[in-house]
Amino acid sequence: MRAWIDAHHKAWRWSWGQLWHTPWGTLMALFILAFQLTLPALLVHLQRQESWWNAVSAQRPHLTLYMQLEAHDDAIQSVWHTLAADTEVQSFQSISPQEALEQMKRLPGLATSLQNLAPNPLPHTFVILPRALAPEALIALQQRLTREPQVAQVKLDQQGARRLAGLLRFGHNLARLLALLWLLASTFIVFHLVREQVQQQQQEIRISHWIGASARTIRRPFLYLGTLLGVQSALLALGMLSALIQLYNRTAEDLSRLLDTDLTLATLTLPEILLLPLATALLCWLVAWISSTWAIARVEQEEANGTS
Amino acid sequence: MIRLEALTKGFAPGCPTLQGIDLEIESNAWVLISGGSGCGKTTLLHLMMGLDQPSGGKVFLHHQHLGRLSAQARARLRANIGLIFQQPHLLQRRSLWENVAFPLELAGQFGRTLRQRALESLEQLGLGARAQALPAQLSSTERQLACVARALITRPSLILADEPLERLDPQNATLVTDLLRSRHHAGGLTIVQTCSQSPTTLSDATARYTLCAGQLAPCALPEY
Repeated sequence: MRAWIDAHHKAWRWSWGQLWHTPWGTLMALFILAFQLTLPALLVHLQRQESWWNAVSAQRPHLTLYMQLEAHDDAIQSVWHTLAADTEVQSFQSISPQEALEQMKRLPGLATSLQNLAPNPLPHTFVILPRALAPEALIALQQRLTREPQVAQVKLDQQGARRLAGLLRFGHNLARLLALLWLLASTFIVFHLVREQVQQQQQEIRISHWIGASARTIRRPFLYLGTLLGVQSALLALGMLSALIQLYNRTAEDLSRLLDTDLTLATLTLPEILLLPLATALLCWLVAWISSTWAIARVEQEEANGTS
Repeated sequence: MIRLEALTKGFAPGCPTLQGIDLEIESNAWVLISGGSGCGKTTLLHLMMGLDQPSGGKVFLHHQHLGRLSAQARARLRANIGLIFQQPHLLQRRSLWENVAFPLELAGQFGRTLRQRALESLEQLGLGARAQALPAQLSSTERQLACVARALITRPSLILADEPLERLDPQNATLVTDLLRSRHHAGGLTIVQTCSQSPTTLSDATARYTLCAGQLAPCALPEY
């Protein structure tokens, strides 16, 4: 066991030494990798921000609930409580018949004609902003609210909701595709960086192999090197991402106030913070494994060809 | 311990470096193979080490046919042999004592024992004071001595040495020869050594061969 720990400790020390040996090269590599990781991480983060997508959607679907003309205050209060308790409802506005009439009177051309209406013909209305944007969820909410007592009608532009859902799906897919492309580019960069290290150590690999080192022993320091590069660049990317979100939110807060919506992005969650270094470390480990195995295979091939 | 059967090796078609070599080396032997530059001594030793594949024939090491072993299995086999290469190959990022201790590390040893044994080996060859130096900071003689120390540190039963004395001054060459002699006399150590000219001073060799035109010919042992 101690021999195993000792061997790993040596490999770990060697990989740190490799990174430390060329500080500028290492720093550049880490920054390139971190930049490569920041964008897909940001896209993945954006994809999970439902409220942000809601806010940036210009034509958000909403439901309009009309109470019956003769609806009692108790029934209106009951609907109000139902809406307040419904998790699918993000916000709602209650408009009394008087308020509605006043609003209509302010519309040009309608003021004089509405003056002549003796009893107010408008019902109590609720304008509801749903949390979800999926048409199925909106229709379910519409049906649920229609069943409330003394509700005359719940209106929803189903076609518009479907159009918006399609657009958002397109946006999500595009974000996913871009994230995948950037991740792929990052993989190639890590592969190239580790391969370069392996190439530089070709003679060392050859000597180790000649003396009798197993493939596992030869590979071990390169695996640490790849993992270290991955973890460090992921931590750097996390820092960049947090700074980016902070900077964005500072601007978005002002705009959100002006547009009466919430355009700010949530900060990174703990699973996201843990996932990025873990996933990157795993990816870099895998790339280092392939790269070093390739180099060892080349030395073995030289042996087989009789050119060592 | 080592058996070569009709061993042939050629790098260019129609121009074999080694032609049908048959040789059997018993345990506790000290075999000297001499020959001019480029006659195939290194190739022959590399074939014994399993670092090259023969064009024809077979190499048996510890009763194992090297041609039938995987590269990894051959590497495992080499870990139990003391190898001294013509060029003093050392791991550049490791200090001298770490280089010497490397075969022990591969054998699963660690910690103070490892360092202690490496330092003892270096002391025997007068390199104790250079233990912390990196290979780049060493002279070619020191590097060659380090390779000898590395080959002997595991106390192997077989040493394959490719011109181990060529880079050394007479004083260090005697030091290395004495060290090999003492290990050989202590029993159980088989040595296969190549040299460009058969050293007449080496009385311990149990067999001498000359490699010429791809053929291995036995030489008479000098009488002392």
